[in-house]
Amino acid sequence: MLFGKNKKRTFVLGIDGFPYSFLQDRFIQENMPKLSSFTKQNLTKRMDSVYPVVSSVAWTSFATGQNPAEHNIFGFVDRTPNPFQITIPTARERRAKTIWQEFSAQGKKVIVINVPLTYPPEQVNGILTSCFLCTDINKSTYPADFSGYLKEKNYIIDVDAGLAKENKRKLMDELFLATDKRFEIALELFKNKEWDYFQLHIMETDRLFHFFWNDLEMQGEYYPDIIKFLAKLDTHIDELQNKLNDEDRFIMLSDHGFCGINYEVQLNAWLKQQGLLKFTNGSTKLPEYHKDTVCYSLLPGRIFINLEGREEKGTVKKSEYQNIRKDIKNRLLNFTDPATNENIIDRVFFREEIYSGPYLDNAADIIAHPKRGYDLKGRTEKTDIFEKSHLNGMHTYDDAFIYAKNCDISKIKSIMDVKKAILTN
Amino acid sequence: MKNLGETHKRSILKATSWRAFGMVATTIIVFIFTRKIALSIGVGLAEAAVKIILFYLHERIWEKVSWGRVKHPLSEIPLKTKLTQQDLTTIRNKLKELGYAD
Repeated sequence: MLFGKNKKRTFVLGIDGFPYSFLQDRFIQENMPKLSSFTKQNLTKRMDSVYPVVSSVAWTSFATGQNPAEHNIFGFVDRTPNPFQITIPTARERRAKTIWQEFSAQGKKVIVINVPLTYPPEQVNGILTSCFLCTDINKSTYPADFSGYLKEKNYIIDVDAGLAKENKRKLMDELFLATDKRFEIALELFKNKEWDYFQLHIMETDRLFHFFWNDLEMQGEYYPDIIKFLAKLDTHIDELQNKLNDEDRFIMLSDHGFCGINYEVQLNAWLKQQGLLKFTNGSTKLPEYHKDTVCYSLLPGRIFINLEGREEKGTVKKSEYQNIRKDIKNRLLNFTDPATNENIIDRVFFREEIYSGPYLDNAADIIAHPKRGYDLKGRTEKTDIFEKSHLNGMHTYDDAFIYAKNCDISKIKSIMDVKKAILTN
Repeated sequence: MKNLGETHKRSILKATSWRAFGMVATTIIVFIFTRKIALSIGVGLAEAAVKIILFYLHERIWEKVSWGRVKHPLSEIPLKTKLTQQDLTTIRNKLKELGYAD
């Protein structure tokens, strides 16, 4: 370069589901000394996630700096109202520009690895490796031939979550392996490729807390493995940070916090019990709901009114819409755990109260946010409202964290604010 | 999408530096033929002034011509892989295992 080098690079490390409150915990301070040392530097803060608290929505909100009604991602599953169909949103449905697209358009080089909802891979000025939604490593990258390098390295797109039911030991081993591989690939690219914006996403923390939370909280069988995993992650973070230049921006963040699950709450079973969701002739598949249905739910806590003129079998009149929403809201706020008489639902929003943008009409009419410990699900064949499963950790809204070096995060309140902070300072 | 071409400032700076070289060359050539220093400098300055304007105009005209220009990869709509029904089924099963779909 003729006139010397003057480039401020940005490295973003996403640690999915890592709670801010952990950073204050003695357990983390002892086992993750590097990560917890950041809190002492006053460069770390707590931030909010988005509603609903789901990784695909949260990371899309991070990447676009927009709310769901602007970027059009509302959950891992969605629906089209007419004809009624359950859909799986992918990167194709995202309707706002991501931070790596913005950098690419400025001619800057980007490397993006494993960020949720980056499948199918999009064209960038650099390299993009898709998230766990990718079904085949051959289809996982842009440019397409980069997948050959991943295969050579025995890269793992995601652990086999099915092992949580069959072989938790093997799942734990895969978590170690997948994390090591991701850092190995990232550090090689870091060294060998030119980049201005680098984002590496660690999904394994989310899997760890979903499937091993009880072991963590109750010091169960896998407690020593959890300590080992977190200590290893801390070593990777340390190694990565040591490779950055003093002037580089280094941002670490999570998209939500975590807590234990008392019960999974089947919201559609509750709606059936309330007489608000009905099925014909013994069928329990959501697309076959009876036309007299008032509303139905998609996880987590998204409730759609069976509105006339919008839904395929819509019968709720537009004139009744507001009163019905108010009625459902009241019922949700009075929905209690019969064992303890505690409220299940913490907050209930009408969509326009938390979202604004051109895709507002695609949002659920009501968004229910649960109290800690009650994980909202939406299976329609269930009659029992309260259940337990192999999942024992759930997401929390107000306990995500952000750490930033060479970037002012003082104005950040939620994950939606991070993109602006990166692009403006 | 904004075309990643030259700014006006860069075109002007390039035109100026090029003409500075050109002016020195013209002055030297005229001096070799005429041995008149004032005339040589005069021709050099006049030529530089005229050609600097012409070069700037010429650059801006070419700036409007896209033929032969290497396009930034994102100047077109990003390509996206079409998902098959099988892909979607696999994704859905995976989401079920993770508790993200019912």
